[in-house]
Parts: sequence; C-alpha cells; structure tokens
Amino acid sequence: MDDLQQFLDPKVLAKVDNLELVAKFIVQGFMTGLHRSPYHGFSVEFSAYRKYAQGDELKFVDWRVFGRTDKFYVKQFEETTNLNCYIALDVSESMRMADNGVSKFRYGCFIAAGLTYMMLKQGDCVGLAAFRTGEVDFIPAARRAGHLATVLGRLARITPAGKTDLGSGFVNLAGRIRSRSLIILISDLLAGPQQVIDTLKYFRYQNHEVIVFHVLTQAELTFPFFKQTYFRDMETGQTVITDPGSIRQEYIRLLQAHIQRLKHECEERQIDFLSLSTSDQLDQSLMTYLSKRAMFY
Amino acid sequence: MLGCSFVNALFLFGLAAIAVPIIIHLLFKARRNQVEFSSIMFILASAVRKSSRFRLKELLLLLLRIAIFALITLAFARPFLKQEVAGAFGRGIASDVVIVLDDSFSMGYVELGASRFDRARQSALDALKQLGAESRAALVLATRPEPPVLTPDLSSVRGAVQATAVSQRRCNLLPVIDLATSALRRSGAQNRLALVISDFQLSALSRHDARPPDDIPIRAQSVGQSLAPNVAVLDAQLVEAAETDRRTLLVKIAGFSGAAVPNGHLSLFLDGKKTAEKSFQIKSGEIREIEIGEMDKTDAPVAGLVELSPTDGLRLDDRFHFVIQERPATKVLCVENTVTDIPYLQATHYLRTALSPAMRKGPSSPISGDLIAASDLLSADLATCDILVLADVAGLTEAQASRVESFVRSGGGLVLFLGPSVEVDIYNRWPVMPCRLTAIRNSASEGVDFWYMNEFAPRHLLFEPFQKPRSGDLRAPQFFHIFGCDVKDYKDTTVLASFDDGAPAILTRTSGQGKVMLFASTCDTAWTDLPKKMVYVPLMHQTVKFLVGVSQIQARVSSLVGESLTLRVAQGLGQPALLTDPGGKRHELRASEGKATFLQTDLSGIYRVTMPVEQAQGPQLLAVNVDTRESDLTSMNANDILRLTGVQPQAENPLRAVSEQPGDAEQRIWRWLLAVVLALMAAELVLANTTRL
Repeated sequence: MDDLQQFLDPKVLAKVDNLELVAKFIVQGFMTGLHRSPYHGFSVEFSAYRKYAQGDELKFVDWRVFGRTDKFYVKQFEETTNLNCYIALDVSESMRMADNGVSKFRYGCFIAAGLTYMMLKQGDCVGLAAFRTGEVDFIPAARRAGHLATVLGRLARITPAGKTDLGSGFVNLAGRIRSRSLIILISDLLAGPQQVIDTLKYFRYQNHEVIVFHVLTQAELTFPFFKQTYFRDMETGQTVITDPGSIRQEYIRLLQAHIQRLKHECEERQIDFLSLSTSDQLDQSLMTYLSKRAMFY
Repeated sequence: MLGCSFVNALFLFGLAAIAVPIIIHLLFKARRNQVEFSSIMFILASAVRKSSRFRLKELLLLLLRIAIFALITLAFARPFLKQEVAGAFGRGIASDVVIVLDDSFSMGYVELGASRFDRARQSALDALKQLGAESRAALVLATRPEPPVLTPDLSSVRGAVQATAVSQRRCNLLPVIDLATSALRRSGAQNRLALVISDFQLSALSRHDARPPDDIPIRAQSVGQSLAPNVAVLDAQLVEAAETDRRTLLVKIAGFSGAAVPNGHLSLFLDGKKTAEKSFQIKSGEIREIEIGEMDKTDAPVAGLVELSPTDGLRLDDRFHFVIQERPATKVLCVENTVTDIPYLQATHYLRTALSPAMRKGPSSPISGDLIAASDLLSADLATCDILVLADVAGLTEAQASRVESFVRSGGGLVLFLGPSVEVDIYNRWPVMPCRLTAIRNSASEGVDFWYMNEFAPRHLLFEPFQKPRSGDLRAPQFFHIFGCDVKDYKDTTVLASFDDGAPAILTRTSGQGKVMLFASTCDTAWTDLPKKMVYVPLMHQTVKFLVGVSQIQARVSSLVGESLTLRVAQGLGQPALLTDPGGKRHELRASEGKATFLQTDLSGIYRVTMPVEQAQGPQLLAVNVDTRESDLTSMNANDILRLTGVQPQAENPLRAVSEQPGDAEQRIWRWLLAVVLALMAAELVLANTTRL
C-alpha cells in the first residue's frame, strides 16, 4: 500500500486526533490512488496568465504562448460553479457503537472531514447538519477561508447522544436549504424504514441530490456473539437477554432485509446509497461523491 | 404417627452442596456478557425471549439444580418413615410399656451436637408422654439389668428417666430385653410394648440363650448413626530393654467405624505429670502400636495415663489408665529328696541356675530360687513363695501333700519334674495331679534312639519365644527315659507338648486359683539332654511366667469398669482397708479369707487402696478402664436385633415389632428419590437447551 493510501484505513486514522489532518490524509490518499485527476473539467474556467514560477504544474503551462514569446506563462483559472453541499451527520447515541476502536460516529466524521476538505478544495460550498432527536446543529454552506476549520471544529466538539430522528426535525433542515444542493446523509439509519424513506423522498421532492452513506459496524452486520448476553439498547436503554447463537441467522436476515429495502427505495428515487462498514476504506465515499458531482454538470 | 428419620444422617451435611448451583448461578450472572448495542430492534424481532422470561427460565433451572443436589443428598442419607410409640396403639390408649434405655458408655458419643444418650432420654420421655391415662410403664437400664416393675405412676418413671445418666459400663442388650419382655408377659395387659432405645452396637449383642416370648412386641429405636468414627486406646504394656532398666510403653490404638486421624497426638502422664508426647496417624479399621516414653524402675507404684488428642465424640476411650508397680522377685522353692553340699549333684542345679544366673548383667534377677529337702516341706514358709518345684521327689506324706495342695488352690504354682525316684501310686492318689502316671519308659528297650518333643500347643505363652524363625528348636532335646502319662480321665488337663510318639510331654491343669505343670521327664540330665540345650533357659522362664502370670501393668481384663477388684489383704487386721475411687469417694474394704473384693467399679481411673496401719505397706494402686469392646460403634440393623431376640419383625400379632432402624423395604425411599433426581436432570437438560420459551 502506498504511504498515503494507508490513511484511507479508518483504523489508521483513528490514531489521529486532528480532523483537519485526517481530512488531508484522506483526500491525499484518495488522490494518489486515482489515475486521472478528478479536478479536470469540473469547476474551473480560464481567467488570466501569469509568469511561471518554480513549483507550478507543467500541465498549466501555455505552450502556444511559449511558442510565440519563448517565455513560460501559466494559465490561471476561475471557479465557475457554485455547488452547495450539506453533510448531514447522524449524531445519535447509536452512532457511538464501535468496532476495532472506530465508532460509527468517528467513521462518519472521517467521511465528513474528507468530503469537506475535498469540496472546499474544489471550491464548492460546504455546510454541516449534525442531527439527533429534535435537534439539528447547522452550519450553513460556505467556501470562505477558514470554513474548513469551522466545520471540522464543530465535528470535533460533537458527542453522540439522543435518538436517531429522521422525522420532523430533520425535515426542517430542508426549509433552511434554499438552492438545489447535494445532501450527503451519513447515518446508521436505525430507525423505522418508512420514516427514512419519507424523509429522503421529501429531499428529492425539493430537487436536492442525495447521497446516503449507511454506516454500520462489523458487529452489527455479522452479530458475532456467542455466550448468553445482555444487550442494552444505546438509545432507549431497553435490555434483552438472549442466546446470540440461536438468533444470529434471523438477525442477519432482518438487517439485510432492512438494508435492501432502503437501497431499493433509494434506487427508485435516484439516490445513491452506499452501505459502509466502519472497517471499510474511506475512498469509496469520496468516489461516490465525485461521481455524483459529475452528474451536476 | 409418622415422622421422618435417616439411616445415615451424617450425609445431611451434604445439603451444603446446594450452595454449588447457587454460587455457579451467581458467578454466571456476574460474568454474563453485557453488550451495549446500537439498536436492539432486530434482536427483539428475532429473539422472542425477553429478559423477564429468561430470568424465569434461569430461576427454574436454579431451582431444579438445587432440588437435584438436595435430593441426591437425601437419597444418600437414606430416609425412612418412622412410627412413634403412639402409632402402635393409638395416642392415649392404655398400655403397658417397658422402656429399655441403653446407658452404656458408647451412648455418651456426641454427634450432631448432642450425645446419643440425650437423644435416647428424650425419646423415652416422648414415648411416656404419649401413653394413655391408664397406662403403666417401667424403666430398665441396660448396664444394670433388674427386673422391671410396671407402675401406673408415669411421673415417677419420667423422673427416673430424667435422673439417669450415661454410665461408663458396657452392656449386653439381649438379657435386658429378655427381662423387659418377661415383665410384660406377666402383666397380662392387652397392649404391651418393650421399647428398646439404644445405639445397637454389634458389641452390645452378646450371646444370650433365653428367648423372649413371641407375643410381646418389641420396638427398637436407634439413636446412633451408622457412621460414627471413633479412635480408642485399647491397651498399654511395658516393654523392657534387654540389658538395661529402662522401659518404654507400648500403646495399642484402634480406629473404629471409618475413623481416620491424620495428625493425632498421644500424651503420656505419670503421676499426673506429662512426661512424653508422640504424634501418630491412624487409618480406619487399623490397629497401631505406638512406643512412647522412657521410664526408670521405681519401687513405688506409679499411676500412668495415656491420652489421645484431638478427642473425638467419645472421650472416655481416648484415655487409658495403668499402674506401674514393681513385683517383688518371683520366689521359686525347689524340693528334692535330699540336699547335699555338692550343688551340681542336685537334680534342680540346672533349673536354679537357669532361673537365677549367678553372673547376670543388667537388671537384677526377677526370680530367686531356693532348695529344700522334702522332709522340710512342712516347716517351709510357703506363703512367701510363688512356685514350688518338686524334682524327682519320691513321694509326699499326707500332710505334705495336703499343704502343697492348699498352696496351689490359693494361687500358687506347682511344677512336677519326674524321675526314677517317683512313686507312682502316691502321685496318682494326689488330687492336684494333671494325669495318671503309668510307668517309666526306656527308649532303648522300645527300640528307638530317643524321643523328642514334636507337637506344641499353638500360641501358648510357654512357647512364645520359640515361635519366630531361628529362635530355638524345641524338637532338638533328646529324651531317653520318660514317664507314661494317661490324661484320659483328666478333662481339665491340657497337653501343652507331646513326644514324637504322641505321649504327653508337658501337661498343665488349674487347681483352685493355682496352676500345676508336669514335665514327663527329669529336670536334670539323667533322662534327657534338655538342660544342656539352649532352649532350656527360656523354656524354664516361660514356665515361671505362665504359672505366676507376670504382668507389670495392673490394668488388665479384670480391671474394667463394672467388674470387681480383688485385693490380697493380710488376715486378722483390726481395721478395714480404705479404697478411694477416681471420683474421690472412699469405701471400706473388709477382708475375708485374705481377700477383699470391691464391686462398685463404676468409674474408670485409678483406685487407691490404703491398708491399715498394721500392714506396713504403701498405698496400692489399681487401674480401671472402660471396656473398649464398646468403642466399636458399628451398629446393627434393628430388625436383625429383633430376630436375635427371637421375635420375628413381621410377626402376625396385631402389634408387630417395629423398629426405628428400618429394614431394606422401608429404606426404599432413596430409590424413589434417585428416580426423581433422574427425572429432574432430564428436565434440566431440556430446559437448559431450550432457546425459546
């Protein structure tokens, strides 16, 4: 693995506290893995020439001008797009569940940080909506200098609490987003499937593009418990004692049915749905974002 | 009325095992996985079992497991249902009841926090309480069997029961039961019962010929457990070192009824001071001999005690009392036809030299030998002499014979060596003779080279030193002349050794309190080379030992609690001797014919006898111990006991014999309990493996 690409591994990133650094690592690791620059042809337009200075990339050298003047000039571009992107991060108690030292919340933060970094690099506006029951911590989309620090600083201060709520509170978020935007939902979606679907439908109705990153831990996916176990619901505090071995098959079947239903509903509404495990590499999420962004233009 | 009792109640301690499933349950609960899960909605949907149901299941499993352990323990304790006395007649119905209460010292065994006797006494009181107003009752104590007298005054019987205490005697139950049933048969009442309350040791059931009447119901109520570990001191003997005056004590200890002591201590007390201690270990059913202490010879009697620690349920037999009292030298008086100045010409020269060697090292000789002529026999002081040896004495006058006979009957020992001078007719008229002499036999004339001794009484004291290999061969001495001895008409004579042709060689008989021993040959080398053989010296010493009954420690079979003590007291004393028992109580002893007998040996310990001033002697000590046959607490099935008494437990009379200790049929509850245990185990297995309730 390339040195930078190792930073796509959440286990490695979990050792880094600084989210800005994490974001850089993710994006750089992601970039080194690509054969073609994702920036080409996206959001920049020619603006002016300036003299070549050491360190400038050769691809931006205008060879015609060089042919005429025998001097190196570099093309300068201007951002032409105004893509608004909102990262909606589930910060309910259930996101605290961890696997191999990486909680779903932390994993969501990695995705959010990486995307924010990349988006701001692209010149896109980025906003953040951290949501839980009846509460949305909202940062409007912006691309100004220092916005990255604002978003990442907010992410660093959040502690998961409360219940997953994709109901009224989350829907109100739609009212605060006026222009057509890209909504990136990062959640474990452990709520009633109909509520999730209704919310996503509403965003689509508002003409927003939506990407859903469905984050679960390996423990939730495979249910690797054997001895008789007391399970305590992180959000409700409800307990159940059971023999995991005897219900594992049924549990996995029900969970997969839930995921499949969400996936199916999302596909029907042209929503990108990416099921992620906290042990998955982070490049998938960035790639999904870039693919979706390409659809905008 | 029915009650529940157990054959092996000690197993009930196993009920503590029910703590095992409880502890496992609590540990399991404490160690149960606790997982915080993001959302249990899928778990709830897949597992129908909820927490509360699971707890119910766990509680059920816990109860099942406790029940399994408890029932297994109960099954091992072998429960049975017992009937109370009232069950035989109906509560309050008039009846005649004789209570046989075992008060032997084994009843003092403490188990389950109370002595057996306390429980027996309570059972007797309970039985009396259930009797009707018109009832009569009587009490017989097993160690003091007296014909019971039935009385309608139940309160006096109750008082008698309450006043009883456990004794230090042992008992034989069968004659007591016989007394009880005989009294009931005479009573003529319609409802009769002999209630025997005992621990029913095997040792308490000695042979008894009388057979109680069949129509008297007997109820055996056992108050003892079948497993009653007990360690007892059986005996203590002095062991003398060969060449010194030092002696050690050889203590015999036995472990009865499953008793095992891994780390016990044996302490030796002499005159109340602890002089030695030794550790020991003993296994169940083992008898061990432990050598302890070193003692010097002393003239004064020493009261000794060996004691075991730690003590068990029965303390009395953990102690053994003894007295070390030096015997004065055994005096042997040899009688020959004549006495000359040339010692080696005397017939008893070899004998006297063998008994009291002139050049003896070490301890002073315990035997002294004197020689007199037969003519001086009447004037000799036989009172100071222990053994009289007649060596080839031709014959005794009537007065001489009478004196010797009186000497033997009062406890003296008489040894007869024959020879060519012996007048057969005179000897054969003598009542103390162990045989009838026939004639002198000559080996040469009978065509044999010699005779030799060939058959010996097995394990007799006389031959004890020769039993081990290379310890002397009694077949080696050659006999060229012997006297023919006919024992046909002498039923109390024992032939201790015979010649190779079957003729008696050594004979003995008891006459009064003394013993007579006859050698069919000479005591010198005239007829035999026996005096020149190495076996001669030990054989003669054993003869003296056998005739005198030498024993340094006074505590013997005759000195057991309940048996009489006989003391030699000089006649003609003006004042009685005083005996102080171990409890400090004083008793006067009146002498009769030179002896005084004390019958009330109810306590074990040292009895001190102080002679009157006229008899210049120090206090005499006598050791009395409990009879350790009672120490073996192995009990017997009560129905078998009833069979021993002659009553069939299932007799057809309306009041059938019943027992506290059940027969096999009554003990079958344990089988049902084990069946229930198996069923519970199956249920536990199913329940434990059920994932859905």
